Amino acid sequence: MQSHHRTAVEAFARPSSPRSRGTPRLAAPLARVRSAAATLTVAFATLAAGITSVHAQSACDGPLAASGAVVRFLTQATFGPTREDICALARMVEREGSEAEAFEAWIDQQLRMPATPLADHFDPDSGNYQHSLSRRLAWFEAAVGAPDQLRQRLAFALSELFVVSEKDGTLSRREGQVGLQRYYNMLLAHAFGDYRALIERVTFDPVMGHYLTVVRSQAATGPDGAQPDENYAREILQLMSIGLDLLRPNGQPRLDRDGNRIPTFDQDTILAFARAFTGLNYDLGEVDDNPCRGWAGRGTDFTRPMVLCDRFHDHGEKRLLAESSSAAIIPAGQGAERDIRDALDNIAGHPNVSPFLARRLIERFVTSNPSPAYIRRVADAFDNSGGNLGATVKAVLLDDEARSERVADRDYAGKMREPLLLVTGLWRAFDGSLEGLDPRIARIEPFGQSPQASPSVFNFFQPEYQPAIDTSAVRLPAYIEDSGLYAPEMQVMTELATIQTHNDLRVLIHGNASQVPLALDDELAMLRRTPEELVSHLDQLLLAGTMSEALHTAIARVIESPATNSEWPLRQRLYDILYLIVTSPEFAVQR
Amino acid sequence: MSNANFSRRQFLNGCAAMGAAGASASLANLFHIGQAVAATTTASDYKALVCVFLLGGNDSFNMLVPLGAAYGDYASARGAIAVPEGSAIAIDSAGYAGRNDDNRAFGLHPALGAGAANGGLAALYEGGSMALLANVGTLLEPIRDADEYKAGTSRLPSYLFAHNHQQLQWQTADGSAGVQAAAGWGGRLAEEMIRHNANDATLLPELSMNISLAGQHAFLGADSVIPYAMSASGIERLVVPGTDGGIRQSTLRRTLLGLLGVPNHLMADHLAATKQRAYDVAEMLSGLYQETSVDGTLYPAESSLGAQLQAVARMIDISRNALGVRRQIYLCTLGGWDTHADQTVRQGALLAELGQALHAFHATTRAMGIGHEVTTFTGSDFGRTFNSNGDGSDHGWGGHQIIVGDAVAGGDIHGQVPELRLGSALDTGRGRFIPTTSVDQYAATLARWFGADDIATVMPNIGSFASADVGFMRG
Repeated sequence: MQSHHRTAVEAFARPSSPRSRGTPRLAAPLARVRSAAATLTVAFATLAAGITSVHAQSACDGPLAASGAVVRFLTQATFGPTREDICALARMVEREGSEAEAFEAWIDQQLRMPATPLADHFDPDSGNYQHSLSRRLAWFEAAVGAPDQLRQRLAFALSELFVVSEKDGTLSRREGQVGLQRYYNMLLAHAFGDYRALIERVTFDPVMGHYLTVVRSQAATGPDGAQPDENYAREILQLMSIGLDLLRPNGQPRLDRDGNRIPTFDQDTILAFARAFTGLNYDLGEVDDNPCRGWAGRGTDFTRPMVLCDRFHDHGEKRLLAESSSAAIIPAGQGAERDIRDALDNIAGHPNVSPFLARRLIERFVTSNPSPAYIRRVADAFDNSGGNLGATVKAVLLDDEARSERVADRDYAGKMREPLLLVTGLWRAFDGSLEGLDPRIARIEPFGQSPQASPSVFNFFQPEYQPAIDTSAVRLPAYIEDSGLYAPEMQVMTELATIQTHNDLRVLIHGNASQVPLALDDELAMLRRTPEELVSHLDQLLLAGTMSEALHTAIARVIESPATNSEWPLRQRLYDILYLIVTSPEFAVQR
Repeated sequence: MSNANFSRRQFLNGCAAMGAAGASASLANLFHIGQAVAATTTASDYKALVCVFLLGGNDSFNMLVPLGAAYGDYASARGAIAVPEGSAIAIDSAGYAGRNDDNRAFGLHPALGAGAANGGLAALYEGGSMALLANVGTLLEPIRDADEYKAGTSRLPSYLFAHNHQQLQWQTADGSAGVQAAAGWGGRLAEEMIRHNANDATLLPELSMNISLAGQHAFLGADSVIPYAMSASGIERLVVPGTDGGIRQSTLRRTLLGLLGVPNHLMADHLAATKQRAYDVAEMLSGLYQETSVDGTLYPAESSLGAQLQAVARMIDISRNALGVRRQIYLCTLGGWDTHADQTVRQGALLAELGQALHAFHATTRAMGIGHEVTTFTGSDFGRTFNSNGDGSDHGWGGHQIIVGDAVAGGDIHGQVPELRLGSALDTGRGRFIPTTSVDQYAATLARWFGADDIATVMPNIGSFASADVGFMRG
């Protein structure tokens, strides 16, 4: 079923040299643009009345100059490249003399930028669903408009690692929605800080406390009595720090003498962590400082960090992760606060943390199938910076495996574009309107994805997801041959969802009678005067100059259609061209 | 089967005519073609399996509650999450008692019964079309007791008590430790039935035997089986810009479909193939789907599971009557069962929804005359700790499952209910009971009813267990 695609590879007249992003100099891909344009010359003849010269421009208006490497980088590091960002970064490349230095300078600039928190659009008088929309609108505004793009993008990645979700009775309601946004702002504030500090904020956060039910978990009432809640203890270990298997520094599983994977923890470890996390309570002590206030009741507070009630804490000795560089045995009787901090030190000191997080971050920004060496380099950056997340994400983005265009040309390179990023990317590329933001944007859930709305703590898709892709006709590196090809985002891309999302994108691009949210005047002018310039402009802006011949031809078919202007007005043709690109299989992949 | 081949041509001509006209006026026509064909090819031999997977791990020790003498141990282990003895719906378990020399009395959670608008599952149990399979779970080989477990000599499924891996183990159950992606047993069962040409007469081979109402899960897939994922809200067609029959729309349609066939990248190609399948099936089925309807009054209001099961009923109707399909496996899910906290309220609501939905769906199949041909069964990540954590329970292992249908040996509890006491022989800690029936045995029993004769291919590890049929299906 799947193999006929591969056999067709030879038959299809693909450019014999790999898509020509090969050289890092800005003007280099022009040759390919020219050759692509040449193949279309005939097609354009019917519409192109104007002059058809192709030339690089460094100004930020008019057709976008060839800048594949810059666009690729910004696609990985932001919620989608804007024309302004592309021009600015291209100028930095000229100034610094190399892409590597310019990209590093750009990241350093971003690392220094203060966080733009999500705006408060909540209307206290409105209902639960409106609160959800208000939160999503604020998220979309920041994703599309905030200048601290790298921080925004990292916070989004962290929200998929330290998952809390509105798909929970309490958090779907008003106070919960406000709490979810405050939690997100906490992630934004700490995104470039240290991992150890972040997990402390997460552990004490009342939204997490509710979501993973650690709030008001208490010491056992007797050997056969109620025991501490194991939920948070298990998931912080499995999903947020060390995972299930002992790892080598390059992220590959460590094996025992029989070749089996070695579990990072057993049920006794979970119980010990669950005991360490007892005594957390909502901060309801407004009238006094009693941290035990309301312990037996149902009162909640999602605005302030949780507090510790020693009375319900388990004060016994706890045996935690022996592999950690930080003490594995928490002695009895040192109090709840010290216990929790020691437990978090024990987690953060585990050698799995750096390769585990390295892989998770690489997956969100660059590729679903990083080489062990890439994971190792990023893990080293994490360790060498004392677990600093800003330094780690910098290593993710500047790594040769992220930057190499030779790597990007491979048949398995990169990742599926994260669904929400399809929409933010479109808005940023065409300066989409945020004015009185169209509710359609807030409601849109490409492939079911909406910020902080995953079905469970396991996120929208799982990192281990491996679609049934026949790879037999492709030469894969040994590390992929061994483990299989991962494509986490593909888990949500079902038959149903491909059609729904295709239809959603149509609505977004074509707008309605009264409003088209994208600013497309420049593109319309290009289509009118020099359509081949429009094609190379869109190729650069949306696909970093990698547009396939097939997509070129498809666009030409729209441009050259003999339909009259009233049958198929120029503006509709432009929307349709965009629609073809954005819904094309090749655009679904971020290389 | 020349008759069927002729019919398929007719059917496709009907579809092509519809595509060209692009109008829904021809849909009824198409439906009639389908029905005419069905009259000659139908499938007296139709069967469907419907898996309802309870995501998160159902605390089934509150679904089936010991009454009488055994209630004391139950109440003390469960504390605040115990179902009050007086509220449980006492059931007749004489069959179970006789087979197992076990005279414990049992009751169902109250939300499964009287409170439910349609009588819920308790009514089905009483009427003989619902059975329970007790203490089933993931195993690689039988484990006698907790001592054997603690000795560390038994082969164990990997990552016990972890949601994602136990879902995977449950849905694949192929005897491997479950580290890497594998075929689901629903997928392997479909392969087995395809080998027996089960759906050869269908008018729409593009439609997979296996259909998910709940997105991608391991259960339905296999090497040669790509499940079809649809929505409870119906079958959505691709809407292409432009007016029907106009040059703009036809150019765009041709162009964007053309792009799906051009190889580009392993992941892009996979997505393109998915979209192409989705397009093909939706073009052919959305009209037929609109023609069907289900009496929704019995289903719980605003219920995701209720909506999924109504969609299943409509698909069964089309598949059996218009397409000549003989075998189908469906997957529905209901989330929210990970009740670490606030369990009494949350699980009560979920059980009420589950019970009403399963009851309503069974009533629908009866109304369609296929109460014996459709078997619905539950699965879940794991059972939960018998011991409470205050107001909830934590991840466990063995747990009870529900099977509904007129071919079910209902009104009975199959398998063995463990001694429901902390520290009992099967307790590995906090009442995480070792399963006494494996998922393999559960699946094999269903597979045999479904018509598979090579059970060892479908369930390759079945030989590790005493029996491939644990008796909850009649005949």
